Amino acid sequence: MINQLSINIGSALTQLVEFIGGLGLLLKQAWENIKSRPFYFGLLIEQIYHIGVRSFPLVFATAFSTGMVMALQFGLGLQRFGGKYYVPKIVALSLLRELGPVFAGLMVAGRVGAGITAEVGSMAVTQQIDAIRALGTSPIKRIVIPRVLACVIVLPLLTTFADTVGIFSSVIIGVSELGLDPMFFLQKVVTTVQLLDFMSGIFKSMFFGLFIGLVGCYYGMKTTGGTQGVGIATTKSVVMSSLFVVVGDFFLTKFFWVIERWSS
Amino acid sequence: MVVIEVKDFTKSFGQKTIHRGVNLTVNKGECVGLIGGSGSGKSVILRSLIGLEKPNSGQVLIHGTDIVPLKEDQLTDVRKKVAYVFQGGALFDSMTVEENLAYPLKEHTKLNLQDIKKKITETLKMFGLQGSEKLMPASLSGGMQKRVGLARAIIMGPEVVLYDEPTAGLDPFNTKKIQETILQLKKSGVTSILVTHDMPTAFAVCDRMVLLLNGKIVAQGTTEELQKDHSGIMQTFITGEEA
Repeated sequence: MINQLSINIGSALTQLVEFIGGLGLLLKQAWENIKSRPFYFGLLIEQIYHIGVRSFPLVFATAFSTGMVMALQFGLGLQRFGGKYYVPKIVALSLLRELGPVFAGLMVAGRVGAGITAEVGSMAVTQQIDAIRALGTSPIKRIVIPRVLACVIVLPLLTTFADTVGIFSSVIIGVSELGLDPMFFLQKVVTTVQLLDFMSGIFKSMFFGLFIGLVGCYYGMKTTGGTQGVGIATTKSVVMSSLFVVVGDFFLTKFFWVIERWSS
Repeated sequence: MVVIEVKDFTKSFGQKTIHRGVNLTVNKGECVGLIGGSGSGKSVILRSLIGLEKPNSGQVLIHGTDIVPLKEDQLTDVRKKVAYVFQGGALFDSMTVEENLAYPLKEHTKLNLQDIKKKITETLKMFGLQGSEKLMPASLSGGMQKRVGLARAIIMGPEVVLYDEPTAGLDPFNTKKIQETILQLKKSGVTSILVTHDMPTAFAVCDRMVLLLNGKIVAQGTTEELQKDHSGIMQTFITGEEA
């Protein structure tokens, strides 16, 4: 039993090292390829549309309900201590610094990460990736770079959208459930929030975008074993991307916290 | 004149050794049939000839240049001259037939859209596929997909064509069409290697056949020699007595 356990741990560690190494290698290849021609601008625009524009409804629904829940929970909790006037400040800071980027990241990891892996994985098992190479072109340039760049560009935009929607939905609850004046609510948000609060969320979302795009492409390009392999790769991709968003959020928060302390 | 030369080619996947020092030469304009049992590594050799796989040791010389140490971007010139016909066609399923054929032309030539369109129409006509320009690969039959894949591979006018089981799973009509295309290309001076299990096609188009067994080339001979000789390991394989 102990033997089996050590084998399982060893195997999991090997897979982790392989994953980190493979991801690093893919990032290096993408960085090297992005500096040389040709650059497929049309493919980038296409991916921005698929990844970004089509994610807006999902991000809207998530941010809208999150903003309302936050306002309601803080409102009910703080009302007991006469602190309901702090709701705008707390909700705005929570959304901009944490919930906006994290929820947008998780939604994109689920919708886009899975989509990228399934699409690229299907191309891999039907030899389309080999065909790109055999025809003298680069799958890194045609497949990886447009998708990763699109994620890095789109996620900050989605986060900004989520922040805005979340704040406005919290205003609705603030007014209808807590009896706060809408102008008071918005004024408190504007006076509380600083540029750094907004930017830390935006930078986080860029890292999330980079990782979601890379993980999606990595598992897609590595897919073997036909349609079953595509399913397995897609699941792994979503799990790893979501984990990174949640776990990476802590380290990025700490990182920006150190920077803020250093700059103030 | 030797166009392709494989020297002491060794390849392993994990613990399993597939090739143990394969040596092979193909002369200009020659069509060589590479035959052997399933899993003998025929396709791996074929893929190595355009750098899709790397051997563990040995050399792969194309026009005298060893392509094994070349990086991915350095292989572009080789891949413009050496075309690979995939078993299933490997068509880009997000593109129409026309876009699939236009792909290498847009990437590697300075032809304008009108000339690209003209070239595509001519090529499709040659393969009996006229009128299929706007179709998506998913709406084509298996035979048509293979023919479009072949058309895409040769549209740049390659010097060498590598066929990976081009007739597998095809009906007699499509098989005949593929055979005719291979013979036509051969007539125009194209050098080729054909990996196949389809012996009638191999006898119809190949000048020479080599048998890959247990990681090595164990027998070879011209098509005429094989048709006359009714003994030996090659005959045993061809007649289906050993794989």
